[in-house]
Amino acid sequence: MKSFNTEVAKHAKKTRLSAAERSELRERIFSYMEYHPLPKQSGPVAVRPSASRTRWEFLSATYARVAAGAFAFVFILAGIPLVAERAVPGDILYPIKTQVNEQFRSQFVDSPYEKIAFETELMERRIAEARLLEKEGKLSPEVEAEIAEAVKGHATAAWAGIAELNASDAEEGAIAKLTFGSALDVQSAIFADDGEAETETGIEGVVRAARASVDADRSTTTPSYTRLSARVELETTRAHELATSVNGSATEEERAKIDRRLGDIERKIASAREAQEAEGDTEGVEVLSVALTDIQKLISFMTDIDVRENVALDTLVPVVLTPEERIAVLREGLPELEEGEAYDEQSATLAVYITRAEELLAGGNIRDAEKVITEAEIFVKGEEGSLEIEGEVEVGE
Amino acid sequence: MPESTKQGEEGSQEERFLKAFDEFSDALFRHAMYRLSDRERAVEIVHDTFTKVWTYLRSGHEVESYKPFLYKILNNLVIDEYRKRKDVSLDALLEEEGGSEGKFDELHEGSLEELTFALDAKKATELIHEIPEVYREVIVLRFIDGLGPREISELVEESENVVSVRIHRGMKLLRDRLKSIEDAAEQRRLT
Repeated sequence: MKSFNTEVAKHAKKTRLSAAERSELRERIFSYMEYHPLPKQSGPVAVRPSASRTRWEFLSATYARVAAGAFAFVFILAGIPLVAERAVPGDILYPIKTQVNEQFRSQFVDSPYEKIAFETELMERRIAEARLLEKEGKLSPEVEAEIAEAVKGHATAAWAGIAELNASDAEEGAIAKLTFGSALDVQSAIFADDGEAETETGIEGVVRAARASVDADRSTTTPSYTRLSARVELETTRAHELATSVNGSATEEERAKIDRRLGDIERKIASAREAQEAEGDTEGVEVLSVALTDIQKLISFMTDIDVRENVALDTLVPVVLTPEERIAVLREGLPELEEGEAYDEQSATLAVYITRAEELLAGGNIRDAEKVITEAEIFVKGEEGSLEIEGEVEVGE
Repeated sequence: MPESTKQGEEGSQEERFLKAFDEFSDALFRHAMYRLSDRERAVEIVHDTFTKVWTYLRSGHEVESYKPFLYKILNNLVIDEYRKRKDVSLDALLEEEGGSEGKFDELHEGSLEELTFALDAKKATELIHEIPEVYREVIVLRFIDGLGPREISELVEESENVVSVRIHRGMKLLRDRLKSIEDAAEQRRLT
């Protein structure tokens, strides 16, 4: 008996978390702890000092090397790289920025996913540099051509990284494609918002071509709901942390806008969960993919000053009306009734839709309520001229 | 025990939680893998187990002993997962297997020692995922996680007698499954 137990235990012990799984799981749990601190701690970030201290115990040798290497580098070069970070093409320190700082950072990019994210970040940095030069009136056609070439190089490297990742881990490749597409959307939105005519050449042309490549990609792999859910959770936690950290610097209006988007994203995640439970993974993944791209765009808005200065959050991540707000919009289509008056046939139908949607909402059946609201909206559009709804409802930004 | 004393002796709640992660994450993952045969879901369920424990701590509770608490939550999550997969119910399984549980006489038909003696541990471990969930649960808890019948009975909220019967039946199923595989292999060899 003992021998059997021992043998089974010995054989079973071969089943364990891989180093990568363990590391990712640990990160996710740390993020959860930080975002949901114990009551005695004052806010979402208050747990960090304690968690960080413990975290050191878990740091992998790679991270330790990064920290030690980074410290030595900064110490030896006495801040030159820091100053170089602000350099733009044409500055003496610009080569330090691109050939020393960025090359140094690239040494510590481990996974294929991180490599794609790093190339995407470099692409965004080059575009931001071009915008800064343009603002200062220093963007000559030659410099723009050079930057466009660099942007193309980074976009191509990111895209190649996605293709490579697709071959080894198609699901991770699909998630990387989503996030890369989201970064290109942000840049496209800035170009669309700058008031200048669209160009096929130059940096804008490169970005549009990269976006077109993503759209034209026929790979049909979609990430599993579980995998995508894990990524969304990580990014949502990061977005909440960033939102907390910008509290001091953001105006009340900006803060309200960010909070509204975070609320919209949380609703999308809940909706994805309901879709997955009711209809299966495919439907859940579809909704969750939208949530992930929204989170990425919101993070770009919060972290990238270039994005914040050049595009409105409304353009980047439009507000998504809650079921209650959508009902309020529909209700505006109903005429005011005097005492004893009754709705005409069309208004009566709309009123039935509204009542049904409200009943479902009251019963907590959000998914079906949204279906009824959508039907009502289609009905209203179909009855254009008689029940047309004008104006927009206040959405509490 | 006052919290300050507890912290003084055993570290903060956070440290104890992280220590539990370090100590039990592999074992919980292993348990989930043998129950679900799905690596991704197993990782997710371990994640959900720890976040649920953290939520429990956040609501002002304390965890005296992490091991049984973690296994309890993990077990509930695995059961939820089976419900999602619309697996057969326990009642249906029992009907299918014939007879109700808790018949202690059954344990004497062939002792557990005899059953395990005849089984190749490595092969039996590989076949665990092929037996019905109701037996897989107790077999995994008994042999993979190394819990005793009393601990298992507390975890699955059944009497020790029922647990012993389930372990016994599960082992018989493993033995029969292994035998049919070996017979089939022998048949192929001869033809």
